[in-house]
Amino acid sequence: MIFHSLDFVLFFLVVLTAYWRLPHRAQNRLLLVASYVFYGWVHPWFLGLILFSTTVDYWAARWMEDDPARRKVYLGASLAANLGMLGYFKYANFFADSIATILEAAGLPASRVTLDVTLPVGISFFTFQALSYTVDVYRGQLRARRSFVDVATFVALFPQLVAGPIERASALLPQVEGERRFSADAARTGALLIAWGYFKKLVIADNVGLIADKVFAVEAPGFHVLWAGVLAFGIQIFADFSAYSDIARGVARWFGFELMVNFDNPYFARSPQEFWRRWHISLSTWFRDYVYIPLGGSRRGLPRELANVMMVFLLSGLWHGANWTFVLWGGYHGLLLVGQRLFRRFVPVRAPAWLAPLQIAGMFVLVQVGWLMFREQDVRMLLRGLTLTPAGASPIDVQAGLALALLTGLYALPLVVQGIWSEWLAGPRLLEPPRARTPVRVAWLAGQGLLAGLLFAGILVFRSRASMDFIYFQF
Amino acid sequence: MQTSRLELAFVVLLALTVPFGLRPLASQLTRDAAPSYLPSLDPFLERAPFDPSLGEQLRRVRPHYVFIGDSMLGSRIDPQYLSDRLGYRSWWVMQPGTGSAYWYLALKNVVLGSGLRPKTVFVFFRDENLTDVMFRLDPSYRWALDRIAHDREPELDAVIAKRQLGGWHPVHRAIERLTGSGVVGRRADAWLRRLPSRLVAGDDKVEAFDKEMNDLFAFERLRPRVAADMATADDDKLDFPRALGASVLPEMVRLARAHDVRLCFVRVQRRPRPDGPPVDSPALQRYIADLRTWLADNGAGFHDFTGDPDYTLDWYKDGDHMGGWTRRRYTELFAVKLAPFFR
Repeated sequence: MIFHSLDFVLFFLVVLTAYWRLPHRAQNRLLLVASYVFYGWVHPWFLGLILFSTTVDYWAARWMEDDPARRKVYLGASLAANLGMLGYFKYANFFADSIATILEAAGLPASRVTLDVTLPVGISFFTFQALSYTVDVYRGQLRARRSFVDVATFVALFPQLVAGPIERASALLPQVEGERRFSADAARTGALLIAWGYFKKLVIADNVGLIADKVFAVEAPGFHVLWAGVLAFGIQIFADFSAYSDIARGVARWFGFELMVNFDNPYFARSPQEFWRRWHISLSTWFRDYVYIPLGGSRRGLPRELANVMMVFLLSGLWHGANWTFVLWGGYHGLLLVGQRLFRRFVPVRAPAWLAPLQIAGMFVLVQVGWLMFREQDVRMLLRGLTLTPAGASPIDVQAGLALALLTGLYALPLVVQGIWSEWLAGPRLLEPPRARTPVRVAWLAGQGLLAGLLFAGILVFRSRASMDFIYFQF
Repeated sequence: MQTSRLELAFVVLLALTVPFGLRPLASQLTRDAAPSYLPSLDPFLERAPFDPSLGEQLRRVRPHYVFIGDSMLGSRIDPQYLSDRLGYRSWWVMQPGTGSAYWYLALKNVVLGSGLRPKTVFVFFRDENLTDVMFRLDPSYRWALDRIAHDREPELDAVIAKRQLGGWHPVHRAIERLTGSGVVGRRADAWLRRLPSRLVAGDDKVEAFDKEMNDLFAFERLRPRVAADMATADDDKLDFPRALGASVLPEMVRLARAHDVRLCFVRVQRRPRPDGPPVDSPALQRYIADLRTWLADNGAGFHDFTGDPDYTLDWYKDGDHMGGWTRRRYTELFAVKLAPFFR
């Protein structure tokens, strides 16, 4: 089921109404059933995968605690089951194809085998979330849970099941286990998050996505048109993915859950490191805690630190998709971070504050170069794009590029305004009503209702007529 | 101080009420518009006026053979050549970018509405779009339909309403109807999309600039795989019995029979592969077989050009369109291959 469908609106209202009439244990059972309905709505067989992952992790965690001497074996089983499933459904064809290419390049006979495998939506998200549970139990940072329903609800909680945020067991499981009370405050802010999320998805992401699709469908776009398309994609992927996270967080609040913030104005980052502290935070911190630190992090000298950074980003690229262009994208960001760390090591000077706008603009451009690698599926076309120059561009290429960039900018305007507001002006204080029950408070609440209503009206008026799936579903 | 439930209800209700503020704006925008001829599609429909010249043209030519279709027809048949050189007095109602709703109105309002009774009316179509009434019915294409639609088109409206019964269509329509967001959205969307062109090219050159922009993204400039994907039929629409019930096809056949006009539906061949004709999916093969049977049972003709070895890739220009250099040859072959319909 997808958030931007009326199926989901009805589903949400029905589940919510029943949910708050039930005692706590029954609430969890209802959430589990609802989450499975949500996930299996189009392909019920996907449920087999999530049940398999949950069952393996539930028992692996319990046996780790019951039999600590063999906990490595149980962790290995959990890793093998989750990563094996991910590897088969997401990477089987990619690896088979890559091996065949290598064999052919070496002049050896190779037969290309293509498996008829459907990629289950959200598999990369729920396997990583489930793994956080077994790894934390293995490390002794978390107790293994006795209740299968609680663990299964943690793995499958529907608001964030298919596209994150990737929640940690240590953050979400206690919320599943604890009593939850309906909070009108959380519901109010949740409603605003939902409205803003839908606006970002249906108005911004889907409209600029059409521009990106058009540009990337052309065989040989000129320099200006190509980069206007890349800009459109950069706006699309941020609006789309952060929209999903906002809707997920908003919906979760109506059920009494608090999910982590996944995006924090990433396009205002001044450096590669800051970008990754603001972009897809739940994935970045997952890789930091479960890959980078176990590899030694920055504790084993500079060469090892830089190698660890590269390893994490290559894996992160591969996590996003089974294509070498994703690996290239990960490697590119790894190199940016390596460059930054080396620069800091040898030039330990803090940049003056007045340089911030230039740093932001520079980082924005670097990120867009990365998006070209991310969006372009064809390595030959990627190389063409990276080597294009504005020299000799035709007048129509310049004008068309400008027009497409302007249209992207018009759609992205609310995103920019919201970003500036939350970054430098009122920030989260906007969501806090005046304390006393005064006319100012009523006016403030009316303002919020009006804002949500304007977003709703904006969706009805400006929504793209060609609604697309959330981009991150494919990961 | 925490938000109370009453305050929450106030915020949510206000948010849900705001979109209704669009309705006066929609009414204002459509103040001078004629009543909609397709109320189930759009209660605030703004339309171009009916154009009688198409019927007048037909009455002047008084053809025995009439062709109806879109650019598939336009790039294949030359009715003047058919009349002058082959002796079959013919004319057409050809409008690029149209679908079965247009073809139905062309038959009803232009051909039969002009009082003529041609021997045969040929209707050109691709794959499943004969039974897809929503094909090319979105606002950017609808102006063509306006030109041949009367003030009321209850049969077409009923078909569209039936087609929209499934899923959440009625809810979407109800929201658009109640808020007027459809008409405001169309105006706003058109204004917003036009704004960059106006800023870049200037108001006086915007048309020429848009044309150049369109050329940049024309079919022949697309990557081969994208072009191939665009040409693939959507298998979801290929359940013939279900599609038939929500299509204008039965009404077209009924009209032709009532006016003693022979109908022949012509499925054009899509772009061939370099090594052979295009390949139909199993679902499309079933659909075409069902269509053929239904038309035969209901006394209408059918000819399928798919797989015809005469039409190789070198006949084609872009996408499914044939090159202008092939039109006369195609027309000659057409007259031979469909000779029974020219008697």
